[in-house]
Amino acid sequence: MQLISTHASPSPRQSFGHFLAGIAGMALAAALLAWEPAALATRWHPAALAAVHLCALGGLMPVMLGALFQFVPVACGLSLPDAGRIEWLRLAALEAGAVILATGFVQGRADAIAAGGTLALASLAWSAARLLRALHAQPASTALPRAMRRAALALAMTLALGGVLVGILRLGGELPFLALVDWHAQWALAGWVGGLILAVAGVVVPMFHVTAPYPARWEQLTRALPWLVFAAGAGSLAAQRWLTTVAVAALCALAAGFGVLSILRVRASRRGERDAFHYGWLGAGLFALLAGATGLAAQVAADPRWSVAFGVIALGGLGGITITVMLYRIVPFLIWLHWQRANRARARLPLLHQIVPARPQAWQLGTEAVAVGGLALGAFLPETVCLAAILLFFSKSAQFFLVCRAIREFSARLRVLQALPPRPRAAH
Amino acid sequence: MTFPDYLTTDHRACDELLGQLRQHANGADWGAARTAFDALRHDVLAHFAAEEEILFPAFEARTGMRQGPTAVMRMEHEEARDLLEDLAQAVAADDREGVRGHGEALLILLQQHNMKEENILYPMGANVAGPDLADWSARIIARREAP
Amino acid sequence: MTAVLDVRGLPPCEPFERILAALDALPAGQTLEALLAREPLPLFAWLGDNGFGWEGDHLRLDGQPCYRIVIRRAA
Repeated sequence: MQLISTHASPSPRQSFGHFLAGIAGMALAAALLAWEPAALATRWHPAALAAVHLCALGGLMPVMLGALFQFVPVACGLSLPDAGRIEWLRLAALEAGAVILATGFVQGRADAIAAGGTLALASLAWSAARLLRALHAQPASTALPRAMRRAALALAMTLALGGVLVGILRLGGELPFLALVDWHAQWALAGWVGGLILAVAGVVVPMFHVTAPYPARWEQLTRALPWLVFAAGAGSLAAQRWLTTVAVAALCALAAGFGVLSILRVRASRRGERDAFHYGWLGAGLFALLAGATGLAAQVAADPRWSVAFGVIALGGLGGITITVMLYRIVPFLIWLHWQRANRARARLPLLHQIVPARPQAWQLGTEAVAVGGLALGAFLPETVCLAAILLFFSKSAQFFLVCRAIREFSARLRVLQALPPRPRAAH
Repeated sequence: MTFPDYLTTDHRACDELLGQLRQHANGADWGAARTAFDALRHDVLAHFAAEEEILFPAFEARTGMRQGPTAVMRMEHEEARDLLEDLAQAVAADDREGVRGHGEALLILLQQHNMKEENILYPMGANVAGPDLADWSARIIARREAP
Repeated sequence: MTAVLDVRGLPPCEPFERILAALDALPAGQTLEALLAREPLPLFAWLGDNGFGWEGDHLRLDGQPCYRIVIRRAA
């Protein structure tokens, strides 16, 4: 067992690179929807498939990985040794894979889908293996490493099924394509994105909002998550529709339950501050609740538009908003911490909420939430899609600018701090 | 009560005091803010003292690890002490922005520190204490609550 | 009777949208034949999801490779 400090964790620059790449990926997905607003007419629209993969692989994924590099060592006491330059190569492969895959979907080109899928798959298999190896080296003494392990396994299932789908497209075969596509999406959305958010929120919400922990029984319930995803796919593959419906309904109940429990906890926060972090987590809770409701509607109603609304809410709402909120916590803190550690001169540093200024932060978060809401509505009111997509594009571009500016400031000030002569410490 | 439970509860109590300080500062009630800050500073420093004077030396003597977990924890305590100084200046100057900024930095710093202690160091400590767990716990609690 | 829809040479996504629109307007009992520049991958999934059956083959028209698909509403 190891206990390492943030000194031993990957350099913040590596995480920052992942964050910027991810924000750019999400902006690109928004731009695609603005260019092709008809994409949200059906979940099989080529541009919808392209946007989903740009958002998930090129957007959410790098941000999640960049955050995990910092979070896993602190929260689980695990060592994730810095693999150096190969990490940049891996990130480039992931982004290139996402863009090629998206191009393949839009143009209906099997060769591009296979090439992009393989590239992204190779990159992610490397990350998943590293994460799983680190998590398995650690006896799962607390809930967090156990939950992270479940999420990482779901990521591995998502990737394996993605590989099978690419194989079917390339080589043909009599496998049940539709059932496998659904399962791939369920492992990705519920197992990996949902599982990771559940795991991280279980720690972050009580500790960083200064509020009650999630109930012990809730933690036990969430252990069922991968089994439910498994049952949903098994039901569909074995043509037992009832099993899929029951499993999906239970998954939706978990999402909604998480939303309600989170909202109640954040509302009772005793942190003493009502900022983007506070309202952002309330928003994430609301999107979780909505994801549960629309997911259930998509399963039981004959109207396929519910699937589109669910996809937008789960990916852009629950996934996207949670990530934005966490970014605004992680980026300023990492910058501040590395400044502080280099600050032997005890020079005056900018305050935490000035590093990414609080007001633009709140505006960006607000417009992102409204834009995602507009896109979800677009499943039923197609005329809102273009406007909402443009709003989302500008919101993510503004976020890119805010984070970029903070990182430039980080490097500039760090050089100054390292050059200043140390000031003797006062005795405590 | 064993020390992991005691110290974990104490972490939460300190979080509450920090929250009160920020709430009062945001509401410009500086008298109440100063009271909350004094309690916060006292409790955090006493908590650190109990760990640095009792728990860490006992842990180091039992495991032979001097440059391991406890060195990291001591360094983070030092960072938190610096922030308490910054907060003290902000509170003395009725500086709301200062309390917000240093307060949030202290909260995040303490939470990531607490996660490491609660998930790793305390369980390890209780494990190596073995039959001495009750004795370690009594001494840690006595030091934390010393007037 | 079979309606024929030639969507070769249209910009990305339009072939998919035109075929969906044509299927919407397709009278019961009729089939739709479409000519595309290449295999319409996402369309296959949509057809499967929405209760259509289809047959397709690769051929050459005017010296260019293309893909012909014949779609019918499953019984």
